[in-house]
Amino acid sequence: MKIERLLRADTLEEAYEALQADKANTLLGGGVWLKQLNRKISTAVDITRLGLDTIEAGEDVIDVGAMVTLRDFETHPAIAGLGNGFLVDCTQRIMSVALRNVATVGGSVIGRFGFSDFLTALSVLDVTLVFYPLKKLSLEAFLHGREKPTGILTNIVIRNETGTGCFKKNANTLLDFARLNLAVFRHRGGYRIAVGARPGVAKRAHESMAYLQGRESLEKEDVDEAATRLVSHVKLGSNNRASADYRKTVAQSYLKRALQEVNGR
Amino acid sequence: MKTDIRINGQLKSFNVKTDETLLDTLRRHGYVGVKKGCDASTCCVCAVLLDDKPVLSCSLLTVRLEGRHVTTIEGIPETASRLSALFGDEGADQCGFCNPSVAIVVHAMAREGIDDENGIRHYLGGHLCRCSGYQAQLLAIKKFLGVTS
Ligand SMILES: Cc1cc2nc3c(=O)[nH]c(=O)nc-3n(C[C@H](O)[C@H](O)[C@H](O)COP(=O)(O)OP(=O)(O)OC[C@H]3O[C@@H](n4cnc5c(N)ncnc54)[C@H](O)[C@@H]3O)c2cc1C
Repeated sequence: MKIERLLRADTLEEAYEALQADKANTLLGGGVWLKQLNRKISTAVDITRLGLDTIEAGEDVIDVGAMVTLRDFETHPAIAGLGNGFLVDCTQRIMSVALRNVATVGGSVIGRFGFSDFLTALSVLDVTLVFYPLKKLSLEAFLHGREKPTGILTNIVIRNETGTGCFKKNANTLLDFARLNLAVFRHRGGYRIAVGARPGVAKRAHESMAYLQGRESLEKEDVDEAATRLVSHVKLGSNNRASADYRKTVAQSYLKRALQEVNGR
Repeated sequence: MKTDIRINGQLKSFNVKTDETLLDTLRRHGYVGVKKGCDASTCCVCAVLLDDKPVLSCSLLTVRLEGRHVTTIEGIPETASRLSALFGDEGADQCGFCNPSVAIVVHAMAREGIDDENGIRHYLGGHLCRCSGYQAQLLAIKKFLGVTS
């Protein structure tokens, strides 16, 4: 990464204008990912001073500033309290504490990384992304919709729901990217299921979710059917980490185990 | 770009290129206890404390740290000497390249009150050591933190 200039922005407007002025100007989150890239940046825009590094936890929503680090996210009581702490379980399996003290929530969302564990776990919650200039978009629309917002992500608003979550990751070691990851959230009335590192970015398994909707207690046949629907409707492909067949096998086992776990078994 | 940072309690004024990392700035100014390993955000030997939290100095731009506090191994002599004695007792010392960064995170663990083996293991996750096999280090760190279970 080569950087010519740094702008320490004092307002969102100033930061946004700088980003609009030239394609080679780039917003810095934690900058950890950007460092890996062989990119030439004219003006790097730093929004550290804009107070986007706090988490406001209310009864209805948890409002996470885009500049909150992954470490501050995982150690916040409201995040630990959501869905039995499955977000903590997910985040703690991303590299080291020292990396997570630098990498931000905003950069983790905007990157739309296929391997992302973070986006898979977030995808089973009700998440709204807030941009400057003002625009609100669900996480799912951001990841899979047509519209690609170019503004600055300022907040990630997570509905504070009652429920139980579970996160699964298949990787060689703590320092490897996932070959597959999966999350399940059981809420009143049903389940949300997402799969990531397919190798594409996290996607909800809508057919499996629809099938499980409203089922009080799950029989073995229900779980099997949800797993079958998962691999027939969510695209799982091959790359140098794993074949499509491998991913399908792992995804089905993980879904079955995760459904058992969120049902307390 | 002129950037003022407090290093080990002392205010320092650096004139740095915009894309210089904290790791390079520190080493250039004689803080050579900070090591350069992978330089790709993975091995953790470049860890220092930023406002008391362990961070990868290879992944931070110096110009973004105006007014912040950085602590290197040179700034925590007591932790360093106590831990190195325990490393000696447990036979954890080999090439020593990762020792400064381990001392940095142990210092952070002590401050955060990490008090069980799981917490230590988790906190050390990602800190690569190419000689020790980690077991002797873990024993030494448990003694340092007074963890008996
Ligand atoms: C070596 C390595 C291994 C990793 N392994 C994993 C892993 O196993 N699992 C996992 O889930 N993640 C992993 N990650 C990703 C990591 O968790 C972060 O998601 C990633 O570093 C991006 O966060 P950042 O703050 O560094 O973003 P940056 O590098 O600062 O930015 C990334 C992109 O987002 C843009 N951006 C940042 N913030 C905003 C904003 N507020 N508004 C608009 N645009 C913005 C930037 O311009 C840039 O294009 C890994 C990262 C690295 C470097």
